[in-house]
Amino acid sequence: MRVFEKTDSALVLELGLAETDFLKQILADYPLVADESRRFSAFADANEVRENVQLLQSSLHEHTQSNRAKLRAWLASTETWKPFADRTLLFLKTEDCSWFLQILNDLRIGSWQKLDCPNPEEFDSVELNRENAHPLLAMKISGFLQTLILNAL
Amino acid sequence: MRGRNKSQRKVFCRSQLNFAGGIAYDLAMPILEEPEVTTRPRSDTDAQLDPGYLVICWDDPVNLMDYVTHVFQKVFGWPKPKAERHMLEVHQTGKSLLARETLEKAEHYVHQLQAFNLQATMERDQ
Repeated sequence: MRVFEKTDSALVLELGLAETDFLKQILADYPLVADESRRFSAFADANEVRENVQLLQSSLHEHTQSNRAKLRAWLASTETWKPFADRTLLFLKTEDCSWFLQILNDLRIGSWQKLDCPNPEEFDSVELNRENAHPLLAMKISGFLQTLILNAL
Repeated sequence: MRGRNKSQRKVFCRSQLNFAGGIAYDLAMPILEEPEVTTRPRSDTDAQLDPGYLVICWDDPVNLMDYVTHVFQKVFGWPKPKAERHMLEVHQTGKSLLARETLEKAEHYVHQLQAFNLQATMERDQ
């Protein structure tokens, strides 16, 4: 996985076929972070801010649904994925970069939550098994892709 | 208007003004208004008008540092050095005060930051 080309209007990434398949799989899982995990205030009494929390959750739920609809359309578009020899080119418009980073971050954090929120020092020492393989790899791939995009911006 | 009562009365007085020609006129004119100032308890509406809500971002062990910087730039329109400064403050001290705003604006920022999955909250400024 690497940056193939960067222009003013788009970022083009080059992926292996296995990387492409796996990325499509993890993107299909969006969203992973539950709206209920949001907090509004660190100090205020929970009863005092109950309405605010509900408003926040419902607003974020709408936002996530809108992101999901856009992601599905984007994944299905023939403009997004193009075969390139035995690899794939992934086209990302510059104005969509922040949106895509947000999607990847949700997948990364959601996967981390599935792994019971390990400390950063434990990330590399987590032993692979049938239960944690998917979230662990999803976390690694989405994090790697985030870094690639952020460095290219 | 706040603190003004309908029964407010105008105070008239008779005054003598001497002009250059030495003619004295008696004028009945209003010279001041005597307001009756009343106080009323603070209402919820007053509280909402106060520009006193802090937007705070808290550290978490999972968000990438470059990502946090990017989000600050995006949400607040900050230049990269400022966004990085706040990101480092979050990372090193556990939190960073990002803005002090009205209730509405602070809510807006918290919603935006949380949409990017950052740990942002708003607190009433003491």
